Amino acid sequence: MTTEASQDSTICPEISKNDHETIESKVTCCSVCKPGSTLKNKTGGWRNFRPVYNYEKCTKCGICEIVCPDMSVKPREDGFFEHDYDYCKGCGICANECPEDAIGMILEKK
Amino acid sequence: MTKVAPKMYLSSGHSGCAGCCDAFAAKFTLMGAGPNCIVVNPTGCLEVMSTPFPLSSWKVPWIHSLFENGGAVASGVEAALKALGKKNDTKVIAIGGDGSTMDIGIGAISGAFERGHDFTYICMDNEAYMNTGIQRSSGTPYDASTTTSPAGKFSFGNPRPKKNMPAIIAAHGSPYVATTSIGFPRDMIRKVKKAIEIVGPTYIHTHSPCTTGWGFDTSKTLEIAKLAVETGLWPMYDMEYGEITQVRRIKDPKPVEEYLRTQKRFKHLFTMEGGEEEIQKIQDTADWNIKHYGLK
Amino acid sequence: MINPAYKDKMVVVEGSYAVAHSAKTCHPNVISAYPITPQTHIVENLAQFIADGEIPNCEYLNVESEFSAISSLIGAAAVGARTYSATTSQGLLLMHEALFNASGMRFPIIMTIANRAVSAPINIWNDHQDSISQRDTGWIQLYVEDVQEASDTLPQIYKIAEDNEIMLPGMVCMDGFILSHVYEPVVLLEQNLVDNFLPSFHPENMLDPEDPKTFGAFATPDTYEEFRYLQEQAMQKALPKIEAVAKEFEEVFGRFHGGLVDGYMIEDAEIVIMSMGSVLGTVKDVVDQYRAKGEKIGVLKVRSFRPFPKEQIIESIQNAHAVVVLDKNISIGTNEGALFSETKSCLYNSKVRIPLVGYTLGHGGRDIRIESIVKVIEGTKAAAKAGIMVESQFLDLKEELL
Ligand SMILES: Cc1ncc(C[n+]2csc(CCOP(=O)(O)OP(=O)(O)O)c2C)c(N)n1
Ligand code: SF4
Ligand code: SF4
Ligand code: SF4
Ligand SMILES: [Mg+2]
Repeated sequence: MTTEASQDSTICPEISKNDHETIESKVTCCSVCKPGSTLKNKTGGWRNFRPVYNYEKCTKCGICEIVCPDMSVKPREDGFFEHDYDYCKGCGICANECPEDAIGMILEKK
Repeated sequence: MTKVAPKMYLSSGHSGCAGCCDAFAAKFTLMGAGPNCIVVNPTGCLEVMSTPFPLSSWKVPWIHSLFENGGAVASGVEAALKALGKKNDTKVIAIGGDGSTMDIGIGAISGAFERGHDFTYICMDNEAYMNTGIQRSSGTPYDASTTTSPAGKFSFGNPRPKKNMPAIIAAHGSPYVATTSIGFPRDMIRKVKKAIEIVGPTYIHTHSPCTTGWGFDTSKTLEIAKLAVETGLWPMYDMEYGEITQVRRIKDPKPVEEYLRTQKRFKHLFTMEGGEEEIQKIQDTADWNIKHYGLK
Repeated sequence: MINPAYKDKMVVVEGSYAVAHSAKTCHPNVISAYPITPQTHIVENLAQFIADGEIPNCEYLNVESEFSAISSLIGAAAVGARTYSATTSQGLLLMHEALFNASGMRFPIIMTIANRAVSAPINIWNDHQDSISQRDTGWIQLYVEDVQEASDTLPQIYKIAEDNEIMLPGMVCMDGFILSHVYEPVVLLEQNLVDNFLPSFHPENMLDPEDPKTFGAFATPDTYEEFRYLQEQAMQKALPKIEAVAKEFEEVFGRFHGGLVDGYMIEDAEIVIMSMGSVLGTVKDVVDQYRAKGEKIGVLKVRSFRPFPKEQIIESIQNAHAVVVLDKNISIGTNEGALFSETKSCLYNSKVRIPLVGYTLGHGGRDIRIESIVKVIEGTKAAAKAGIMVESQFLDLKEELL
């Protein structure tokens, strides 16, 4: 069956792969969702490459946090940052943009 | 240098491609706007990837209605807030793709700007209809190959230049129109902050390279965004009441070839006979921008 | 039926003015409008009320199209505003996509439709093709017979639509020109009575930075069907609500125009004429003439087309010998009007077995004459005796033009 939804998701094939077991809330009258609830989708499973920090090189500039499209770079108490591998998709942007070359990308063992 | 971490109002777990441009556009918009806003998001990648019922990546109130009515829905939100005495400092923001902004939704946006609603419209320009599979839009640049403007034996791809949407909006007498790019987060965040603080209809057009639609490695989204600016192909400026008040200067513009080479959508320009002349035409566009907007 | 006690309250105004006045008393927060004949006078009158400061806490949007009129009301309703628009014909068709969206998101937006034919050929006069073509959009549709009812039905439909259990948009359909442009004596709704009758609007879900909800998410096959089911459930809940609200209205205002349906001389009727809208006035005049001759003819006015009152219709016509349905619309390719098709379908699984015939008539404002109604009644009498010869047909076709 070709619905527009399935067509539309050809580019974002992940949509159709969504883990529907996460659906707990009942269908309400209008399609109202709770804020920030996609945290249930652990997109870390998509990753082929894993970003890793070399804190010796890091200057704590904070760029990696800003340039993550998946909000998967989290600040730590000590001023450094860490990756949230639950959601990091391994795009490599943080590594590419780090001015100090302090992030490496290593092949994910699956 | 330790800074206070900016609070994120878009959460992880959305299903945009790795390295997604629309996710950046939304993230930077919310970093500029903060929590006291209402977001209207017409149909497109951002809407689909961020709200798979019953889940949502948005931590601000958000509504999706249709593909072509973002401007009108936002104007209704603004009018209702005023009528109910709830406007106060709440900002109304519409954020749509190039397709919904420059093509199918342009009438509704024009109406909202002409009526003078107090809102900010943000166009995430990834230069094609990505959500339906990379079809050409009026934001697709000259010679880009898309699924509906493919390069072929008798075609170099899209035969028309990009529509100048910021100029169209500026012609409505908007107090603030700005172009920016997701490759320059600070610039974009500053412009969003400025736009939402100005009373009246304001517009931000953010250039947004799409890894899937343009054909480049997921790690290059921001790098390519910067290249577009550094070649002069994407001029970044502030405009107040139709007058350019500030431009981002580029000291040594890079040749457009450097930008074009990074993307599969321009690959044919380097393999087809006559490609060189085509690249020259694109270089001419960049040169014109540099002169016209005083980028040097 | 108008209580004689109200006679001295009556003023002669244009139908559109009475409707605009009624909309004003319902205190909408956002009105979004676009001109189109024969609806224009309604939004012009509202614009004047706004200019004179007569509608408090209300924004009036001069939008650039009907598509943006309905879209802006979707945004407004999402913030918790009571909303109003009026349109017809091409304007209503232009809204089509957004009509589904408004009902799917369960926004109780209210519109008056000054029914008009649809193009091509372009024609500005009355029939019901415009709103009938929107029957599957999930909007409540109430059809009114006269100006007083057009005006009185607005506060009723707000009350129905905004019920927490219902939350569906609704349209009051009045015949263009015939009702919108006629000057008739009416009682203009009294503000204090409307305030008593219609509670203010407090939806459960709203766009609010203090409680940031997401509206209009993407539903996969896993959930989409349930949304459609819940819309249908809400429509079913609207059935008793429409009846109840009509009675409540009568208690407060002393006027009753029918609930879901309204019978006229129908108790003992052998032949029943069913229809919607202003044509019922002409039909009732003809029925009076038949009754004067001792013939048992009756009328069933269908006020609610969505939700469709199957039970009430079956009950009202079950004892007739034959029924004729008059439709000012046609579903091209079936040779039938919508009320006829739907009435027929609701009888199929019932025990009622009576001949049912249909006429599609009055297209593009074609005059519906008394002689034609007589012809219809005579034809139906024949069907009652000898069975159906022609199930559904156009009335008053000009053979010489074909
Ligand atoms: C009226 C209508 N026509 C077509 C579509 C199909 N459609 C959905 S999203 C889309 C393209 C979106 O393009 P754009 O606005 O550039 O956003 P992007 O996905 O590229 O971010 C199209 C054509 C639709 N949903 N509605
Ligand atoms: S971008 Fe590099 S230098 Fe800056 S904080 Fe991140 S890892 Fe450290
Ligand atoms: S690799 Fe990509 S998704 Fe992962 S943390 Fe870096 S920028 Fe974020
Ligand atoms: S196709 Fe482009 S815009 Fe769409 S989700 Fe993928 S990267 Fe984002
Ligand atoms: Mg696009």
